[in-house]
Amino acid sequence: MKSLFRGRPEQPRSEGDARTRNRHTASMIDPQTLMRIKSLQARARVVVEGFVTGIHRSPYFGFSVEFSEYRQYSSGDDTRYIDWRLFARSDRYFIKRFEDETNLRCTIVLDTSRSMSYGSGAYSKIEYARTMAATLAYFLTTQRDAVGLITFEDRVIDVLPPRHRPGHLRRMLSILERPPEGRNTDLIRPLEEVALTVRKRGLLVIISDFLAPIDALRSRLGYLKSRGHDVVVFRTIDPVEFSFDFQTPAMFFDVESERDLYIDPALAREEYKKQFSEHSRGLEQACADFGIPFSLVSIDQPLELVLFDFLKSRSTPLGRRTLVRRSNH
Amino acid sequence: MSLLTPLYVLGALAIAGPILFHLIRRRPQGEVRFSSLMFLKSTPPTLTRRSRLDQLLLLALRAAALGLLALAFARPFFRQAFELGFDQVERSQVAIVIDTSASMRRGDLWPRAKQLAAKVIEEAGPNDDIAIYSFDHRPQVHFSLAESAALEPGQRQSLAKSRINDLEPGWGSTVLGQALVEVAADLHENIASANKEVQSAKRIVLISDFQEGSNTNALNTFEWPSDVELDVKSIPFDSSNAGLHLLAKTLESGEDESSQALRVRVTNSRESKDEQFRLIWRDEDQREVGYPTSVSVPAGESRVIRIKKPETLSGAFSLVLDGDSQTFDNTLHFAAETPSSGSILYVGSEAANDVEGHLYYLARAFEASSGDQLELKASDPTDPIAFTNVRLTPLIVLVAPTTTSNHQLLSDYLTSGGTVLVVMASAELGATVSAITGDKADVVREGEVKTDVMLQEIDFKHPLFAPFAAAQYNDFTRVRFWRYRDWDVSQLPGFRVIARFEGGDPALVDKQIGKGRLYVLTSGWTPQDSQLARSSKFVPLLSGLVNQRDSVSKILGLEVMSPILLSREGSGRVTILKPNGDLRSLSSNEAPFTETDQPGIYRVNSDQREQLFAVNVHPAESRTDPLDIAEIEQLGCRLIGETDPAVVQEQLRQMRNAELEGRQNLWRWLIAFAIVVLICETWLASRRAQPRSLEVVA
Repeated sequence: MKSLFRGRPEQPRSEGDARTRNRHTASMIDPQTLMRIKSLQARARVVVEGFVTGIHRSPYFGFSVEFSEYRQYSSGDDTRYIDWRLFARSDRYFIKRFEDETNLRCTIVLDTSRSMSYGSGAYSKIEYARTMAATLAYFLTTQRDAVGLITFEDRVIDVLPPRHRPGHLRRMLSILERPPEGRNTDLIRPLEEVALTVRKRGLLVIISDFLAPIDALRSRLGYLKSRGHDVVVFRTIDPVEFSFDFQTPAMFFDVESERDLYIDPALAREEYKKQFSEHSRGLEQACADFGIPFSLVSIDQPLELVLFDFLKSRSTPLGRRTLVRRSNH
Repeated sequence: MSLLTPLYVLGALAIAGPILFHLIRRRPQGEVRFSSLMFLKSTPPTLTRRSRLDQLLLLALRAAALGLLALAFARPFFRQAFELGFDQVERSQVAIVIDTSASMRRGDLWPRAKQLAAKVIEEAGPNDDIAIYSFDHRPQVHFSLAESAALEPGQRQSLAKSRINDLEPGWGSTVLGQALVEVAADLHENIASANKEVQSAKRIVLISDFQEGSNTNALNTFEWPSDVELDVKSIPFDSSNAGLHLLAKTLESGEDESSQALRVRVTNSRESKDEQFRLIWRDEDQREVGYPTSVSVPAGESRVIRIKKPETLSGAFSLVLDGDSQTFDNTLHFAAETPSSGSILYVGSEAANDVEGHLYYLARAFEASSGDQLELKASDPTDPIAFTNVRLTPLIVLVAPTTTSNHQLLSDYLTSGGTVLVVMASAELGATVSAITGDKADVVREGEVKTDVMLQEIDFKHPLFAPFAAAQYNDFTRVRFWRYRDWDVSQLPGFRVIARFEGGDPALVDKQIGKGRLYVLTSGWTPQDSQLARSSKFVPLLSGLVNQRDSVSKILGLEVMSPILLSREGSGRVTILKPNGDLRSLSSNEAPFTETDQPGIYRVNSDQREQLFAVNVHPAESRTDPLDIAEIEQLGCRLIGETDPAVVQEQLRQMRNAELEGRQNLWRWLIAFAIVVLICETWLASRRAQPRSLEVVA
């Protein structure tokens, strides 16, 4: 497998992280191999099962979406929520606090615009993002959470409200498998529509390449957050979009705007990287400002890591959530 | 080496193109798809050191091809002397057309025109063909192209000059259009030389005063030949001029014809300095008669003046416009009309008021013909015919048999030049005719007529019927005859049938007897015989019989060069004395006299009788204001513009260069070489061309 980020050598946050990651990546499935599986459901199952298998060996055992915290019992608490097993072990009363299990409503917001159709390798960003969405949906469904799906291009295309019922996952996967129409991206308008569509507070997982002006993105993310949603952002980026590793001068065709530009990569590379980094920094800063977990996902990265990041973002208490990232910021 | 069109060498700058293209990094044909160009800016094509080193041979070939093409377009040639044969030298054809109209008589116009013509002849090349034309009312060749071509080159100019010197201005009007049309056609049709490759410039040099009165109508319908150019040499001259012209005679209400008032028009040119003129009557000896009439005509205007001829003037006289510096059109010549005075003798027994008789109609016919002061005298057939001489009794009409003594009188009358019309009202008149002519008596009987007969086989060439020859007048079908006398004249010597009835019987015959002529009408014009008297042909026919003897059929309103028809009776010789004293004689009958080439009084003598007619200058000649040359150009003539000597010199140099270049034709070799170079370049480029692929390191 190629290195994750060619231009920017990955620097783990801590030594422990690095050890865990190395152990995991070794046993993880190469996305290129994964993408050869035609069925989206099969891909999701492979990822989730592999992840679950691995998770028992991981120090993150016990992480759960629905689990929130233990609190020492005080008089007046409802005795129904005392964890008697813990009392048996520790001889202390603890109230087991959960996230509202039945009310965990996760809506995956997936960008299917033209820019997502770009991929320098065997598969495109949209292919990877769809697998990622399917994996998350499959995982959450197995956790008995309600999962919904919103796909958008320049506007919202499909809306599947969060449900937990038989057949719901299959419907979601069938929507994901539908080939995108490939229209322009307008991140701004769809995010407004999402905010209007998803009225009930819940978890919003936004998967996009976020190739849009930072200021507009910042305002829309803040808008979503202000409506009381928990927002998690996955930014899917092709490795070439980081490195701009073209060699020959050529006419570059913008799949988004269908513009042509003559570009000599040797001359344009530095400027591109600089601009791209600035944009990325701006986006990360916006997310940090609103307390939105942000994951930068290179599409040659194993999907288990995405799942790992997702769960990790959920494990962090709300007030102390930090940016989950792989960059060396 | 010299270049004919050196500016084309600038085309060699196009060599910079291939060099630049070789330096510029090639724009890729392929296309790279990318997610978003929001972080990218277009990179301008850059010069790279590496690409300059590439394909030097190709670059050299391309530059060479462009250089060769540029050089070929610049038409290079080597300056070297060529031996040219006589017929290889370009020979132009120059037709000098010189205006000899009356207006050229003004001031020193004519000497200047001749000088100009001489200058044009001198400027012509020794090998050029020169033709000399003059024109007034029609063009005349004085030195033709064929004549010029037949001469040795050295002789042409001297002969042309001598022909110019022989020319004198005439009195005719300026028919410029017709002259140009004929000369241009002559030039166009003339083949310059046997060697057709040698270009032959054809040029008309028109020398004229370009007066406004020039007639250019002929150019309207003429397509000017593309190979003939017109060089206009206008002789500027003070166009101040006044003219005097006679207007048509019209009778106004309350005006008696005998008032003898004439209407004349005095015109004054726009540039004229004079406004006050006098009209002076002069008699034949140029003595002033009567009182002068003052006329004031402002410049650019004209006035019509009614002026009365002094009673004392008769015969030839003139009206002169005094006060104008240009005198060529200031005299109006008059010849007093001499009415056909005399009497017509009617020999018959009919009463004058008998509507069934011939006399009644005859009297009215001669009443109707105004202008003739003829008196109709009736004479009984038994009385001796009384006439003093032929001139006073131009016609005798015989409608009844007469006495034997009268037969002899009539015969004498005829011999001395009289005209006798025998109306064969009855068959007995056949014997009378025989008696007059002295021929053998022939039987005359009544013709067989079913209902009516018409005239046919009319000899319209006969002077009597000639006025009816035109298509609108020659319909005689409305003249029906109920009765006629069948008289066979085929056996009679000297008789000529002028008209026949249907069936071939003669209707009108004539016979020359001595100087006179006998006419026999085999019917009559009484209502019992025919409709002749009531037809419109009757009066003209009778007038024709009388006017047979008039030498001048038209004596007023003649302009210079107008032909005049002098009809004469018999074989009488007509002599014409021209105003300048020349004597002309006309022998052939009915030929129009065309030598009215000068204004003045012409005296026509025939039969010991003198008639006068006046010829005046054409009114258009008085319009001496300058004609706008652009008008000639608008009519389609290809004019040569004013040329600067330096420009001419430059044109000559260019022509020499073009001639040299045309002989060497180096450009053809250069083009051929450029094509070879381009073929090599194409071959080399195709060999070196390799597919390019875009490499993306992902």
